[in-house]
Amino acid sequence: MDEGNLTIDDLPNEILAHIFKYLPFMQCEEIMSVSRRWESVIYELVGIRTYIGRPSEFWSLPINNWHPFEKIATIGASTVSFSDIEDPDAANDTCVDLKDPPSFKHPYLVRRVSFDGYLRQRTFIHLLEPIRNLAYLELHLSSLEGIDLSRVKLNFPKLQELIISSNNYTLQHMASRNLGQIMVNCTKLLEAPYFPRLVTLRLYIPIVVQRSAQLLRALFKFLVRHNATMKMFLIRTEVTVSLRDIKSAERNDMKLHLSIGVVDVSGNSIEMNCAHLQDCVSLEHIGFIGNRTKDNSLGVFKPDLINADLLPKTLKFVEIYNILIAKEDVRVMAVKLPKIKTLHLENIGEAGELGMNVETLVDVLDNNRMLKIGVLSGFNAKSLHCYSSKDSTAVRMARILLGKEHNPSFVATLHYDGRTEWGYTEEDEKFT
Amino acid sequence: MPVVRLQSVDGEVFPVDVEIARMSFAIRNMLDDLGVQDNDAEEVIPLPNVTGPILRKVIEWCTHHKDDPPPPEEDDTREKRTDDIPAWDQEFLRVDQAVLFDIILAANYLDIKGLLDVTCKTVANMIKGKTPEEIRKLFNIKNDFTPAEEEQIRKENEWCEEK
Repeated sequence: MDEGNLTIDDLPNEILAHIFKYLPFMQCEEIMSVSRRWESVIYELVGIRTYIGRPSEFWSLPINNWHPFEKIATIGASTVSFSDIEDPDAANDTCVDLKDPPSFKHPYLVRRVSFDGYLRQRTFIHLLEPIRNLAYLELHLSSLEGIDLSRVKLNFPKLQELIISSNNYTLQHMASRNLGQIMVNCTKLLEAPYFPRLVTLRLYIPIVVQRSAQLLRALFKFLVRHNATMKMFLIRTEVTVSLRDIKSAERNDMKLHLSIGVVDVSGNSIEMNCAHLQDCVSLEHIGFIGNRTKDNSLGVFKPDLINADLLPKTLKFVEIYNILIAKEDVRVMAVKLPKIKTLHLENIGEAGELGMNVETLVDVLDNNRMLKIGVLSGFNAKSLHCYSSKDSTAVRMARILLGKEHNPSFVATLHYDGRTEWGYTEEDEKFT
Repeated sequence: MPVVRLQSVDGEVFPVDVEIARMSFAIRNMLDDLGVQDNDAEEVIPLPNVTGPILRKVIEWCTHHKDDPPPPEEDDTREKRTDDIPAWDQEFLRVDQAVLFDIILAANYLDIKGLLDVTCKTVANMIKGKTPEEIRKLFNIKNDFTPAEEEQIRKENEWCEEK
C-alpha cells in the first residue's frame, strides 16, 4: 500500500457517510458541491434536511428554500419538514397529483419528520408507511385535523422522540377547526402503539374537559407502557375550556391568545396526579405547564398537583409552570427526590399552604445536592415571617425570591462545595 | 494474561493480550471461528490489510482504551457531537492525513467501533466550518463539476436559516 498517497477519496462510501453524519445539517448540504462523489454519498447514504411545501401560518423559522412536494422523490432526505402541503379545498394543493403523491426516494434515510398544516389521511399513510428508521415524529395540531389515526398503523420500531406541537395554534383555530377530531387523534396516538426505543414525549395539547378522561387515561397508560426507555415527559395542556366556551369566546371577540390550563372555566380542575407517573422508572425529566395566572392565585385555591411523593425517584430535572403546588409537595420535590439536580417552579402559588417555604430552602442549601433552583412567584412569604433565624443564606435568598420585581430569568445556582449564587441567566433550559 | 500474535501485511508480528485483541470484532470472530484456546500462544493471526506502523498505532489505542464502557446507543434525533474527543485521543490522532485515513481503514477492517468513531469525528472536525473550496484544498480533491452545475447546486441549497 502506498501510504503517502492515501487521501480522503480512498475511504469507502460508508466511511465518508459516517464522517458526514457528524456534520451540522446545513454544512452537509454545502459540501455536496465539493465533488460528484461527495454529492452522491450525501444523497444516497446520509440524507439532507429539506423543507417541503410552503410556510403555513404555524411556521415560525425564517426559511427561504421551500421545495415543491415532488422534490422528495428525487433527493435523499433524512430530515423533512412538511408544511401546508395540502389544502382542505384541493384546488390550492402544492401536491400536484393527488391520486399519485410522490414518495421518498430513499425511505431508509428518513430519520426525522414533522408535519404542520392540513394533511390528508392517504398522504399521511403514503409518506410514513415505508419509513422504518423514523427516530423523530412531530405532528402539529393543524396536521391532526384531517387524518384519522384510528385507521393508521404506526409501526416505528426506532422512534425516540414523539411530539404533538401547537406552535401559533390559537383559541381561534380551535374554535373554527375540527377540535373534536384533534382530540380523538391525540388519544389514538397515545392508545395504539408501543415504541420500544422511545425516550421523549412532548405534548402541547388542548384538553377539552368533557372529553379529557379518555385522553388522560391513554396518556398514563402510554407512560407506563414505555417506562423502560422513557426519560423525558413534557406536557403543556392548552386551553381546557369546553367546546361551547370556545365558541362563545369567538362570538364575544374575547382575548383569543392561548390561555393555557389545567383548570376549566367552570372551576372543575383536572389534577396533575403524580401517582400516574410512579411506575415510570426511567424518567429523568418532567415538565408541566398549566394556566394559573397571577390574578387567580389571589384567592384560596386547592393545589392542582397532588401526590408528589409518588414521583419516580429517578428524576433529575423537574420544571413546573402555572400549577398550584402545596408546601409539602414542593418540599418532596426539592428534598426527597434523591437524584434531583434542577428544579424550576414558576407561579405555583405563594399564599396559604401553597408554594415553597423557607424551611425547604434551608434544607436544599444544607444538603448541597441541587445544581439549580428557580422559584418565581412561588415562595411562601408567611413562612419567612415565622422563621426564627434572620440572617442565614436561605433567608437572604428567600428575600430575593420574594422581591417585588419577579424576573422570569432569575435562577439560583447551588454548587456542590456549598457556594450559592443567584442572578439572572439566559432562558436556556426552559421549554416554553 | 493470554496472548495472541497479530501479523501485519509486511510481516511484523505483534504479541497482544487477548482481551485487547478482542476489542476488534473482526479478530474476535476469527478467534471464535478458530476455536483458539487461551494457551495457544503460538497462533499467528495474519491481517492482510494492515501495515506494521498502523497496526502498532491501533494496538496502542486499544491498550489505552481497554477499560472503556461500551459506546452508548446512537441518538438519531439530534445532531451528533464532535467536541467530546478525549485529550489523549486528540494527541494520539495528531498525525498526517494519510496516516489518519490509514487508521480509519484499519479500524473499519478490524471493526473497532470506538476507534472508527473517534477518527471519523476528527475528520469531521477538519471539515466543519470550511467552504467547499477550502475542503478541496485541504484534502486535495478535484472539482469535477462544471461551473454551471456548481451554480445550480449552490442555488438549490441557498440558506437563510437562523442558527
